[in-house]
Amino acid sequence: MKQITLILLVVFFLAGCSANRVNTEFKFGNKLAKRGLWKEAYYRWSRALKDGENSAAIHNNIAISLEFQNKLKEAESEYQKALKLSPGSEYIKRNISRLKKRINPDTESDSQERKDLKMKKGKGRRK
Amino acid sequence: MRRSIIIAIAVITAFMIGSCRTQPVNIVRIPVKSSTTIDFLKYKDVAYDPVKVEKFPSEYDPGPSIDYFFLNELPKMIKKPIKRQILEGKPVSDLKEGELLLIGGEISLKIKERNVIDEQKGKKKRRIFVKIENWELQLEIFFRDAATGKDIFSKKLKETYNGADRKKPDYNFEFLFRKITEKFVKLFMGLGRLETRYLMK
Repeated sequence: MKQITLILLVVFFLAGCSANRVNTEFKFGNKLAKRGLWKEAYYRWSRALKDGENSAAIHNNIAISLEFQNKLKEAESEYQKALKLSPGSEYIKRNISRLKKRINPDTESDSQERKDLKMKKGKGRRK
Repeated sequence: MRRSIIIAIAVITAFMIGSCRTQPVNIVRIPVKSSTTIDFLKYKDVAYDPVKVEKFPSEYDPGPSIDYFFLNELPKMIKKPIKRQILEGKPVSDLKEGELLLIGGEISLKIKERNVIDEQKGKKKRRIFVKIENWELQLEIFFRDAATGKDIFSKKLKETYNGADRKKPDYNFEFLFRKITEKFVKLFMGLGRLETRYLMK
């Protein structure tokens, strides 16, 4: 009985460590990105992703680093993954519309999106 | 009594949590290249078809400044010589596609006069009316395959200079022309600019 308790404790401890490591990798990636070290940040976020962290934030940030590396199609697919995980995120939507504008400069997606946002706000006020 | 204490604690805690909440993103800026780049190496020759000058005051001729930019400054940027060739934008039938890239366009100027009050400082403060000008320069440029007559890049840009000194038309034009050509070069050379993105925490 004691042995089982001990094993369970070790398992819980290791699981806690791993979650903490994933979080550390993600945060460290963010720090690197803020300093402009996008490739290193990409490496950190990819490791966090491999370790099982599948959040919208990681996919969104990976997409930005891919944009920095001019890998626009890969970036778009990462943004889509992020949006699937967090469909209501306005930040991800704005990032996507800016990327689309970059791919096709003639699109008015960003301004259209702003109009939509204004309309939403307007509707809210009327209520 | 106990109930009200619990409610008070809950409200205070909610306020504390609310005040601790930070924005879930960081705004970052990434350098991006303009996608409208022109492959000048694809073309054997590049020619400048003089830009049409429209609506300019008769006492000022911007032609030499415009020609200087296209025939002396632009060749250094694109690392290719540019010859002067008057075609008026028309396609040349005896050329093959990709043989000659034609640069041309149109430039126009609008000047609006305004009277403004100018305070002259001295022993006696005097207020006098001074005439100033608001300049608006519009430049439309095309990069055209001379054989097909197809535009590979074309753009219309506008620049304004408010409060221009009417006694210095040369300076006013140069100031606006520099600004507008810098924008153009950034566009067709694909030079970097910064764009914001939301980095999630």
